Amino acid sequence: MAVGLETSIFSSSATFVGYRLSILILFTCIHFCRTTEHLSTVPSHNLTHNSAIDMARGSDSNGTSGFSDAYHSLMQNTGVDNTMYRLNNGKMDVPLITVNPSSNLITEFTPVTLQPSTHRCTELLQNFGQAASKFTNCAVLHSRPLHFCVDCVNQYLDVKKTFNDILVDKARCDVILLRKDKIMITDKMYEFVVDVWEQSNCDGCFTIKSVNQTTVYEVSADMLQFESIFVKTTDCFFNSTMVHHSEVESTTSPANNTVCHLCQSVYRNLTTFFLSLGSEEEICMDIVDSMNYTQYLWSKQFDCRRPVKEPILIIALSVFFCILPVIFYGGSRIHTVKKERKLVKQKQLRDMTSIDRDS
Amino acid sequence: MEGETSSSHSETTPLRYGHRAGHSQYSDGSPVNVFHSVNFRKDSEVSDVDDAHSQGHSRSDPRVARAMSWQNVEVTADDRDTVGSMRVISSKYESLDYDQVENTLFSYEENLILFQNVQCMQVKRWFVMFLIGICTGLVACFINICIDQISAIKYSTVRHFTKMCRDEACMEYALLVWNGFNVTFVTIAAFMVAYIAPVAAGSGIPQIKCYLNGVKVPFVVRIKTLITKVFGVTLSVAGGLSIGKEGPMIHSGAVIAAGVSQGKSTTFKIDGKVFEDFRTDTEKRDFVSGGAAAGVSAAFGAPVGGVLFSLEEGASFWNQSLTWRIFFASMVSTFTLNVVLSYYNGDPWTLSNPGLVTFGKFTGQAYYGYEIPIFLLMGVAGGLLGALFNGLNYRLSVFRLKYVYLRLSCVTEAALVALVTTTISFTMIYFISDCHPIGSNSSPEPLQFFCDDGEFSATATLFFNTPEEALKSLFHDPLGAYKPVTVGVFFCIYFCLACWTYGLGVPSGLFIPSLLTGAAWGRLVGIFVHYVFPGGHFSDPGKYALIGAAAQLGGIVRMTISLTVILIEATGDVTYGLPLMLVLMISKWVGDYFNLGLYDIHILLQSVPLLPWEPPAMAHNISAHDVMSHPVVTLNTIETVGKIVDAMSHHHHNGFPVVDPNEVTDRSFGTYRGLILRSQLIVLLKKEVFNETVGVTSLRQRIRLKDFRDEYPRYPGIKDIKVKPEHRQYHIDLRPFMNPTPYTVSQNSSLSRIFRLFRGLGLRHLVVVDDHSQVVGIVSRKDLARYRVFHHHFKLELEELHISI
Repeated sequence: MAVGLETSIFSSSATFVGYRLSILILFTCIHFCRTTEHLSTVPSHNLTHNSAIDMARGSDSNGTSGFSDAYHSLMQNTGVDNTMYRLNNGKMDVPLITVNPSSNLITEFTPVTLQPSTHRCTELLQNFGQAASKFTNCAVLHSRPLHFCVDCVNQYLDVKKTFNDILVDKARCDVILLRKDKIMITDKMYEFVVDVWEQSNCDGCFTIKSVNQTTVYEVSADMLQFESIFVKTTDCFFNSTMVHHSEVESTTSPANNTVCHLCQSVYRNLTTFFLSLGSEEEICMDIVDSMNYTQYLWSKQFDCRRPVKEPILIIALSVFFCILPVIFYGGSRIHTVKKERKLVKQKQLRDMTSIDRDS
Repeated sequence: MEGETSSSHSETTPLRYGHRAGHSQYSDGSPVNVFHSVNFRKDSEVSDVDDAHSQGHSRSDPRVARAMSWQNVEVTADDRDTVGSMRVISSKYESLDYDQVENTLFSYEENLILFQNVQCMQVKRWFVMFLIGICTGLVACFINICIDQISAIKYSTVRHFTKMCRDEACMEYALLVWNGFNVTFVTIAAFMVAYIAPVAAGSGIPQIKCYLNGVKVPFVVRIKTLITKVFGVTLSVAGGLSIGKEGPMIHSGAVIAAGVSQGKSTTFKIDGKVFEDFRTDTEKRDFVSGGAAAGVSAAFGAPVGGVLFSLEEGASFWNQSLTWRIFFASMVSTFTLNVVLSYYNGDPWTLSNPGLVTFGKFTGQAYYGYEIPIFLLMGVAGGLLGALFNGLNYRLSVFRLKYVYLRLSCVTEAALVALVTTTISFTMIYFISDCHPIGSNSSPEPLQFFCDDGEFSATATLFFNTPEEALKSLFHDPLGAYKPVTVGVFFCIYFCLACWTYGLGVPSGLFIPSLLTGAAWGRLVGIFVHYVFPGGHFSDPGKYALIGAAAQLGGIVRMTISLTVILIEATGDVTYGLPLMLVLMISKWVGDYFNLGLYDIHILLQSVPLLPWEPPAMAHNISAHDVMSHPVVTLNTIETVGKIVDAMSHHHHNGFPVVDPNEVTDRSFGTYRGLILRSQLIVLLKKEVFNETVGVTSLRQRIRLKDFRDEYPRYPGIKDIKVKPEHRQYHIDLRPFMNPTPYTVSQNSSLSRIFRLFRGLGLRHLVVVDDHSQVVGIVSRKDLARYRVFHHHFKLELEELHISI
């Protein structure tokens, strides 16, 4: 059974490193089972495995052999180490798997040297990794209060640039780095960054220009103006509450009333400006979140927007409107002539017979 | 039950005489039972049907019979409670002629037809179906875009007022403005219906069902009906009534089909001189079933559902190549709608808007297998609620038929419903505060109302929105988007409003309000399930809303396979097939225990002589002898013009048996030779094809089949034909024009046998002959439709219905 499985997998997955890894897992498992159960079969099994790798390598065409070589060498270096995740200076980070230390499988790989293009790729990968981590760090730090669009734009651009470098690299690093495994961590990382950026409509905070074929992000005029009004508003809130905070500590309402009174105009300004920016789905999240925060303070914290309800008139109107149909139906019932239809008798032979009989 | 008086016997004289010339029908108030001797009352006011007709037409103050027909109805002070009874059939509905008249004229012209002509016909049929699909899709787009634009204006204006009045305590302005919009729109729609085409009221599905069954519902496929329907539905949906635009779309599709296939408009006196071969009831009926399917498919984005709808509800006559053509029309229609709407939405050629209403994409886990028992219980609830809905609507419809039938009353009623609907919606938004942060909302511009800044009112999402949008919100908003009390109140109110609204004199679909009602209680069930089992794995309340919607709709309309497929196609996910089917099945069973589907109730209320699929049970002992109309008005093979004109003016029959002029007895009316239709006689009289004026040889130059087709579908009445007095003595030889081999039955055949023959071949007249080929009677649709089996709970009884004028 085991042999059958091996061959089928080899033939279908020869070109994918990812698959090789999985094969390796498979082998390790099978091997482990075998070693524990039938120790005598181990050597023949190792042989099969080696030939599998050879087959895989043989069918590689586009410079992947460098990678698989690196992979082999790592296999060799790790030896009986429990973990196989390692950083070789100037070489590649190759994620590998845990192997049972008792296994002597690994040592059977032959060491191969790295090719120059791989060095370059590793460098690109490192750059991207650093940019991504910087961005992530920045975004998390500026997530509350949310202001990461403006604050992390440089990091974002870095991520884009470094990723683009990988894509356009002449040594086809993109193939090696991005397309060779199933997980595609680099790709996912990049997608995550772009996703966060786009979901927040961050581009909306900037005017994006193209200067000398490089895109330049400038904070937009709307954003600047909003920021200035926003700062005024928060200052106003702060000042007015601070003033009263010292005097009336426990009861909040007089203070709030003052806030409401003092800051009403500036709050209104902010709201109208926000509404003038257009649909909420298109506005940059920095602005939306600042606005939400202000609205929260204004409505919930200071309780400034108490809508004026005067239900009496509404109730009166509603009752009046709802009585109209009753009058209408009552009136129709009384005044309209009830509609009736005449019935007719279909002329039929049996009627004639009965009539004949009667007469 | 009135006893027979001696005076009744004296009335027998005109009756006997009547088989040739005059009186025929009697008013009768007593219930008639098949199995008992027949008692009927004849007072001094014996009425001749034809007289009653002419009186009705000449009345200066015409009254509206609601919905189905535009005919003026005689009003008597006599209280016999026939209006609103489902046990009466009306004699005003004629049948369609499906039977090919194979007269000598026809066989002569058929000999001239070449193979190419037959091929050409086939190609033309496909082309016409293509046109039907395109036009239906375009009309659907038009309706959709208009409603979208008008609603946008309305809602933004009202939204502006609510924003403004929030601080200034002037909310009553918002109420009045909203009311102003709605009442105006609905009043215009109701006016159009009342004064242009009353048949355009309601969903139109019952009418189309009758038409496809072979009943000629007056005005149902007229162009003015289409115009009224399209503008009426646009305005009444925009006017915020609890109705949908999907049912009217089906009717519109049918009218478009009837119009396009004829290549002419009698109303506008335009004759395109195309598709002249299709000017027969048979061809037209096929196209109308295609148009109805195209309508469904445009409404729900459900081409297969459309075909099945035509199959289930409509087309009584069905074959495989027709199915294929109908499917083609459906596909074209949904594709057209899709393309046009993609341009309208600014995303050309993204084909993601297949129908007017789509349920949107359901995401996440479809449902868990162990939820199916809950769904089944929901099916039971749907059946009960549906039966309740139908029962209430039936009572209301009867009231309307009796008391609210004047044109102005109909308009006023519609306006009042709009007023109350709006007022209640507003009051609910005003008093139920159900505020949620804006981020959790799916609709683009939620109403804030009295909520804090940055929040919106969930009540307004349901009430202050077009029904389609509210439906989507109920389906897709996450758990916790609504408070249970909001949804509960919405359900109660919407149930009542929908029930009240259906049957108003405005074009109104039933699907969307039913779905919305069901979605509301379904969502409640979903919320409840999550509340009771907080840690359990259950699908989100939107899925429950979907099941509830299906159950409610199934409980009201009681459709089966077509509805299942329509719903599956509207969700775009075949995974929901099983629960939807089970739920629809159960809700139909439960509902059927109490009453009929709402469409059927409305058909019965209009006293349409609809023939069911199967003959009534227990009908084998009833023979043709009992069923047939007896004194038959016959014509001789060579008949004088004067006699033909008299027979046609005194009787409203549409087919006259042609007999050899030999001995006529009490029981029989001469040896049967053939059947001639009223429409043919009209054309003959109009063209003056008299023996004295036309030589036998030149007959074929004088009149051709085309002359008969050109008058189709609106033949002039006999009163419009001016016959010169000197022509009355002339003769017409009917033999070349009559159908020499129509279907006949022996007088001993059973009702079941006659029924199957009639239904299967789509006949209009069936002549009953005795053993010597003597005509003894004639069976028409009404004679058969009169026998109806009523299920009442577990009892089954065969009844003979009354016939009204």
